[in-house]
Amino acid sequence: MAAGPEGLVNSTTATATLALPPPEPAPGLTGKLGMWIFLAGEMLFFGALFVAYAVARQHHPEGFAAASAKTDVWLGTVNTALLLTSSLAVAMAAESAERLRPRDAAPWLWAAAAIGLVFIAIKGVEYRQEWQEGLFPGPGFRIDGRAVAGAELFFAWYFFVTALHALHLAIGIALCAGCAIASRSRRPERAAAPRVQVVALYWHFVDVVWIGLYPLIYLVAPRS
Amino acid sequence: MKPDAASTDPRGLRHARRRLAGAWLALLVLLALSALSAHFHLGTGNLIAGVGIAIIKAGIVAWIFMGLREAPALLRLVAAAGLGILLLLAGLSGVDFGTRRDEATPYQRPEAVPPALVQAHRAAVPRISGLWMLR
Repeated sequence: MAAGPEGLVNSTTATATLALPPPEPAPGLTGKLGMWIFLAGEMLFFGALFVAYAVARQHHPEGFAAASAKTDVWLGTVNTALLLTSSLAVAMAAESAERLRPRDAAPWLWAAAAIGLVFIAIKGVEYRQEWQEGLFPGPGFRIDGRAVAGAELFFAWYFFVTALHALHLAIGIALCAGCAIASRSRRPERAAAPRVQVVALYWHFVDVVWIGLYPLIYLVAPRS
Repeated sequence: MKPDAASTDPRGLRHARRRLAGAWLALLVLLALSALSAHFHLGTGNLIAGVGIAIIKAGIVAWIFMGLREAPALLRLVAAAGLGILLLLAGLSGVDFGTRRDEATPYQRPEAVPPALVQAHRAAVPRISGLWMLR
């Protein structure tokens, strides 16, 4: 081992290196990590409902096909297109915020919130149709005047999961509006970027859940 | 946040927006294909088409819109762990439910129970009624 002045210099360098503060995480990483962990939990939450659907459908394939045929595939398709478009708007907002242009992000966030509201309104129209056709689970439930095994189970699952999804969407709408309002403050650049990115992750997740629901609700049986 | 040089580069923003718009168009085309597939009688193919296209769409949203494409390994790991645990639990549930017999349950009205189940139920009933007659 080397001794003398050279060894002394090496030792000093090593001490100085140890004294350095730990490297800071990339800006925005903490928020994104927290949201991804939250979304992993949400994945399991919605995942349980998807598993319940798979089990019920495996046991009642005819009932699920008959019940799905009563849903409005066109309204469902329009709603899916709307949600995909809202995801584009939120992604544009996140891109603007990431490049420290939060004021550019605000219109995109407002657009996403507005599309989210239209989605919920269309879902309300669907619920109304289904209520009027007697498709809400209960004593009077019938499919075209007959009792079909599993059909009521399908609609119980349908109303629960779509209402839960709408609740998540409503939270997303509030978050988007909140971010858009906050972006008008005087010096929002550094604070706005991670905030918008985290909200964007949440919004996209709600979109992914709907992407999974669409074929399970509307495309169980051929439509023609 | 991206470095300042990138943040002030309008070409970078334009390029990123073009990529996002391309992903959105691909999603709409896949949605149209999915809706169209419901008008053909493909048997199990309908299910495969619907769910398969949904998986591709979810992948595009996660990879491009949610930024997994350029995310650090830590974020990808968390996303993969969530998905992996979900698949594991779903698989275990499948083993459980897939190996059970379908039984008629009290909450189903008799007319809603498929004939095969009614027969299975009736086969089990005489044993009980026999006990009742012994009392």
